Amino acid sequence: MKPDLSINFCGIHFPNPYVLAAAPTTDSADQVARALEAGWAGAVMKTTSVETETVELVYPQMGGIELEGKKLNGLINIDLISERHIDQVEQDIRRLKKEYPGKVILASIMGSRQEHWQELVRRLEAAGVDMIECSFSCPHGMPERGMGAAVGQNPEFTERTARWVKEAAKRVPVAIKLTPNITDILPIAEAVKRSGADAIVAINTVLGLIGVDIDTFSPLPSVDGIGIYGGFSGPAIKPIALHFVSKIAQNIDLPVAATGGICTWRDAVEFLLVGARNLQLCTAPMHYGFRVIEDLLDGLSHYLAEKGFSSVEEIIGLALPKLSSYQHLSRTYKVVSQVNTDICIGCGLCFIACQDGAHQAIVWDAEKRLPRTDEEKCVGCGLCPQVCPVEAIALKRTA
Amino acid sequence: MQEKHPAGGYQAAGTWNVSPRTLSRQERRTSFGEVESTLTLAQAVQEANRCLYCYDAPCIQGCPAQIQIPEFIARIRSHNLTGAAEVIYRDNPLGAICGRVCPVEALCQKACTSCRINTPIAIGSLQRFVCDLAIQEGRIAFQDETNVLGKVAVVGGGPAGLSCAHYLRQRGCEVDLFEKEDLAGGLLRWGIPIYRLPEEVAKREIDLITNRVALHRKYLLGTQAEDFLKQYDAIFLGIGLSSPILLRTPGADLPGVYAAASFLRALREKKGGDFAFYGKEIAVVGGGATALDAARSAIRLGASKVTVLYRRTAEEMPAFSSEVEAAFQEGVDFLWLMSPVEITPVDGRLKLILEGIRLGEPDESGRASVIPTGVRTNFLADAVLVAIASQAEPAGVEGWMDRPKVFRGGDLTGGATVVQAVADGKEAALRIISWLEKGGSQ
Ligand SMILES: Cc1cc2nc3c(=O)[nH]c(=O)nc-3n(C[C@H](O)[C@H](O)[C@H](O)COP(=O)(O)OP(=O)(O)OC[C@H]3O[C@@H](n4cnc5c(N)ncnc54)[C@H](O)[C@@H]3O)c2cc1C
Ligand SMILES: Cc1cc2nc3c(=O)[nH]c(=O)nc-3n(C[C@H](O)[C@H](O)[C@H](O)COP(=O)(O)O)c2cc1C
Ligand code: SF4
Repeated sequence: MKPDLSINFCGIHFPNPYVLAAAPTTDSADQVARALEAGWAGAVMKTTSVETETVELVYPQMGGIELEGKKLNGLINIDLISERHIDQVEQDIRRLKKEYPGKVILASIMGSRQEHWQELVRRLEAAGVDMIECSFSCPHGMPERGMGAAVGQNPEFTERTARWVKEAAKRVPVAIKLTPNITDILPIAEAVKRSGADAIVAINTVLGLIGVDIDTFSPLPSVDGIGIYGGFSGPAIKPIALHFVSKIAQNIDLPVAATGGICTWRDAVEFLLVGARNLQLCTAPMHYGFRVIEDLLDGLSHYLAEKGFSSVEEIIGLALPKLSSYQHLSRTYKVVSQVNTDICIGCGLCFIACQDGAHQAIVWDAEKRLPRTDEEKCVGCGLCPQVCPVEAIALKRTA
Repeated sequence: MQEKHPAGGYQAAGTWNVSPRTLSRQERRTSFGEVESTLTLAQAVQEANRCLYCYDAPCIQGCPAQIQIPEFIARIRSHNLTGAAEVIYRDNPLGAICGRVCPVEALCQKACTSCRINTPIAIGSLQRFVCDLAIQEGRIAFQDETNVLGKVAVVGGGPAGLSCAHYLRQRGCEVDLFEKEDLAGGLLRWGIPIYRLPEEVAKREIDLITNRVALHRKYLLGTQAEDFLKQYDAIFLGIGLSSPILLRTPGADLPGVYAAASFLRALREKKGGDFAFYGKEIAVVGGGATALDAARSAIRLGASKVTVLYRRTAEEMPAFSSEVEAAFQEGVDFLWLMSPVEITPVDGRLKLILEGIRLGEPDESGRASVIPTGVRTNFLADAVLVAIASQAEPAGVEGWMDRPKVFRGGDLTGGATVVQAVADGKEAALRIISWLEKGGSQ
């Protein structure tokens, strides 16, 4: 029996939890149609605004963070909201809802005044959208105009703006997309709850500077020699997103959609386990294309079947009771590192890491090129398994 | 200084190529143990991480069975091993076998984009890893459709016939599989030696297909052909080229001169003891897969010297380059540009008179033509293994091969690899299905 991957989010039926996040991947009906054909449950159309809002993009917009040969461990962008205004997005939504009635079409909006927010909502509802997402979170460009993250960094603005949207939305649920560029997410999330909005989407991109060109001294990406801070996304931000999503799920009584660093079905499972009911992806399909949905779907499906679950609903939040605080961690639990010499390739990385970065607990046999743990000295900090390139080191429980 | 690749970037640091554990030369000279091991999970993930996940990937075009290679590799990367196995088995029901015996250097890996910056991704080893694990853990269970679309006779239980039977069953056809031998498998059973394809590996994947069909063993299709045409909605012929062609030189029928194919078959039937090659000098005539496997097998039986005699040069040898490489490593000698013209018995041994060859203009097969030089030399051996060619079993089927209901594939139609046979069998099954769906059965 194939597990049921469908999921209910804010009363809407999603054929599976995977949705394209508001991004260049969702900036036209043609792209979204291709993605839905490939198996995505839905898409958030790229953030749009009223016709009078000027959106002037600059290029190039992208930068990547390279690590040991892989270039896109994280992606930075200085893109803004869509240049396509509400009139075009309305048309996209009409077409997509007609052609794909079983899929979920969300729209992302951003405004600068109450009338704009409310006009956007009314027009999208009329066009047949299934759900509205409000971007309180774009970290670059928009805040300079009091929009995007400038709203999402202030509980008062967040609550007020969310109320405007909620007031205007007669038929569809409203989700608020939050920024991680803030010290404590809970006051903002509580403000969303007070506003009456239906769900939280977390997180948008993390404000960052991807690098500096060491020949020209221009920050990157360089627009004719000048750079700005951008929004950081992709695999590198997954821990930040997991932190925010789990914290909101533990503390706020609203459904959460996760976005930020989800690339594989394994990432997806982790976000579901910390309470996400919906998964939005952006960088992974930007990198490899919509086809990544195939592994996302069958990987999740096999995982559930192998673990004996019959539906994806069953695993939501299962890790939350195990997420605690430092004072509650066991003081008697003890592990030591253990080297499997059959697998060890004799690189010595564990030795040097423990020698210089931990507790000098690994003894190195220079003759045989073999490490051995001195269990008296090993505190079980867990550094050596992280540096071992072949998984020859495990932590063994001793108490 | 490392050169910058035109596509940009240098060879990626920290992304190493992995290779499976391999038996040493000494171990290979004394046992029929499998030469290569299956990758470990850590190795497989490491190698999968090197794959570029190309768009419209060229490796797929290099695979006759059209396995969606980057898709299964992406699933190894995400530890979705069941999904990876599904991707492979969707296009090739003999995944673990092909992961071992495919000449990947001439197929998928030859086309791999990574060749342009580094070595190709070890696609064959990765495929073998996925399939071995899936079969070992019992994760492969084919679900066949149950609507009966028609009744098809598949003749020949080699990879072509097995593949055709598999895809016909998947779509709900009834299949009668006829095999002249006691066991299905064709050259997987009687040809390819166990140091490259262990019996158990072949058996497991073959059984997963034969369990789902009506298998008629020891059934040689011959004169019954006409009845078949009446009884079945369609017929697939995958009878291979199972009858070896022998030398026609004087002395070719002397004791001590064997067909290499019969030698290999005896080994698979565990009758290697019939060939007392220990400490003996063996000559192998030919330059194809059979010659190379016969030579490598003779080495393993303890022959003191094994020489492959081939009438062209290493360049023209039809054997796969990885096989020739392995034979060199194991100590097989090669004598190029030589052809036996006579064999005579001398003091309990065999004297081969070899004639020198000069290569001329390409002949109609496109290979350099063979021109005898008239220069003769003598060559002494204790036994001769002949592997020059094979032909179809004479079976009275020649006359109806081209009838509309009759489909063919594998070595019979010019294939030379297991994966080509699989691809042919699959394609024929799809053609048969569409023929039946169009009402061809009436
Ligand atoms: C020694 C050797 C090593 C090889 N190594 C490799 C390798 O490493 N990699 C690779 O890809 N390829 C290899 N090949 C080639 C590969 O084995 C063949 O291309 C492949 O097996 C062809 O499949 P087939 O189904 O067409 O024919 P076969 O495998 O020959 O099967 C034909 C089947 O039909 C049966 N049959 C024949 N006539 C009749 C009849 N009249 N009635 C009923 N049944 C009949 C036969 O018994 C046999 O079971 C090798 C071949 C040899 C000989
Ligand atoms: C180029 C680019 C453009 C984006 N544009 C928008 C946008 O218009 N509105 C929005 O809410 N989020 C936007 N995002 C943020 C993504 O929707 C997503 O939340 C974020 O990238 C984190 O997910 P990921 O790690 O899967 O990429 C954009 C991201 C990128 C990379
Ligand atoms: S061609 Fe090579 S690198 Fe590209 S997808 Fe295929 S295996 Fe991967």
